Amino acid sequence: MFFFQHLGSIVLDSFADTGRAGMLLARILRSMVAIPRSLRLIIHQMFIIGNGSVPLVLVTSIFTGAVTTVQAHYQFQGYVPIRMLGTVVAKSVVIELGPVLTALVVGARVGASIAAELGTMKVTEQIDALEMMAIDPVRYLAMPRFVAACIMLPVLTIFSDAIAIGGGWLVAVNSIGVSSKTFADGLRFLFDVHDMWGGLIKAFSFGAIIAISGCVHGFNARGGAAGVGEAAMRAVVMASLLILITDYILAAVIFQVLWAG
Amino acid sequence: MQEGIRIRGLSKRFGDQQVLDRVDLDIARGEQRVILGRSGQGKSVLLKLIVGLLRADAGSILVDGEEVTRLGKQGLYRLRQRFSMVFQGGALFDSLTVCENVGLGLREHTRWSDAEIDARAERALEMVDLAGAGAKMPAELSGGMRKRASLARAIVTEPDYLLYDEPTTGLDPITSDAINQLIQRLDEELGVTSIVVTHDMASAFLVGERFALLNNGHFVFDGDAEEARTQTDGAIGQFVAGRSEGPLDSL
Repeated sequence: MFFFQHLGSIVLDSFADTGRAGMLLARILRSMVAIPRSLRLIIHQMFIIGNGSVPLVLVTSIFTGAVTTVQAHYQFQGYVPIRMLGTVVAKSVVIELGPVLTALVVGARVGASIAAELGTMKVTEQIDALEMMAIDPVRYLAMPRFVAACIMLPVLTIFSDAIAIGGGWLVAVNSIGVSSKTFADGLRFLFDVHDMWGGLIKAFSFGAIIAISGCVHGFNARGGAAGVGEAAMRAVVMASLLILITDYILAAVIFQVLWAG
Repeated sequence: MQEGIRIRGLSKRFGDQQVLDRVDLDIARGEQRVILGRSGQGKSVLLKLIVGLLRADAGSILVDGEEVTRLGKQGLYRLRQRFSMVFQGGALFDSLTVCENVGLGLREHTRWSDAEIDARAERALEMVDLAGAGAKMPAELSGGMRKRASLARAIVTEPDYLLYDEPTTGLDPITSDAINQLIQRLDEELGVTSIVVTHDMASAFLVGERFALLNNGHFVFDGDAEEARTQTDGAIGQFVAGRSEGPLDSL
């Protein structure tokens, strides 16, 4: 009985969170008319989200490329020519691993940070202070973070793609013994610019998800330090789940419907 | 148009707790009104209802003849440009310097240059004896300095109404007295209508002209400072004397 109560409570909470996120998204979109006068805030957030995430994305991407190469080589043995190694690494990274893994690591860092910052502002009445000064918190706090995340996730994904392919090349050449030329030929073989656009559309959507998850839980934080911690945790969980679900939906729409046609 | 604030039949409930139960209150323009009451009696809730930070369950709040409970978002933002509030913990924005905190309202609502806004912010900081502290971050300020910076942020926009939520809570007696003197001086110099929520009687008698005592969702006293001081029995007498026994619940 307790299990079903718990499960029901999780499902209801998820619906409530999704509803709040949808309403916040609508308010953010409406406040976008104020982008020109919020440029300074947006650029500041782009710096925090982008620059601050570079070391994390760098390390994640090198090992993503490296492990993709090792695993692909292991599965190729006896069946697929080794010149296809570069092709598989490039396709896997650009379409799937680059956007998704970048979003997951940046989502954990940035989603938690946004939720904790806004949550602290909420419980220390700073959000009320903004309202008292007739400044819309959605326009002043959420919209710049949303726009910055939507811009910086594709940028970080391009960076991640390049580093991951570099990591794959390092392992292919130094550990597996494939020549640089063979690996590069593989990269060019079957290269389709649509793959890259598909990955960047995903990254853009993941940026929106990360910002919305952080903002919605930050704005709804209650209590003191425990409430802020809870908000940060829930933001990361929501962002991670939505990234994986959206990844499937976008993959189906982009690669099975749009590009397939 | 009726000037000042007129509250009639105002109710607010949080869950099972009826915080305000059909309360009435009048605050005239230029008045220094003190709202007294024990912790958790809904004093801060009343302030937030007046400016629409919380929505009333029932009742009417007229500010200079305008019904607050019926205002939408833009109407409330227009109304709040005539108000300022000093929050209990200061509510300074952590990511901005003291000067940026003070100037934020002007930056958002005027077309003045950065230099003009900074000059006005510095002037407001001078009025609260914080000259030269504009470059500091809020985390670098003491409790008393945070309250004064918050006061500077409240007065820089030259509001008609100044709301103070527990302005001396958490401060030592000497800093509390300095803040009270500052509030008194600013009220005299700026001629604003002020509403001070407090349970600090020293503060109340220094800054207030009229007193209202809130208990269990109702105002149990509404009178001037002299009446509050001289009534030794009843709820106000018990509260002013700080006695645990009397008509006010002790727990």
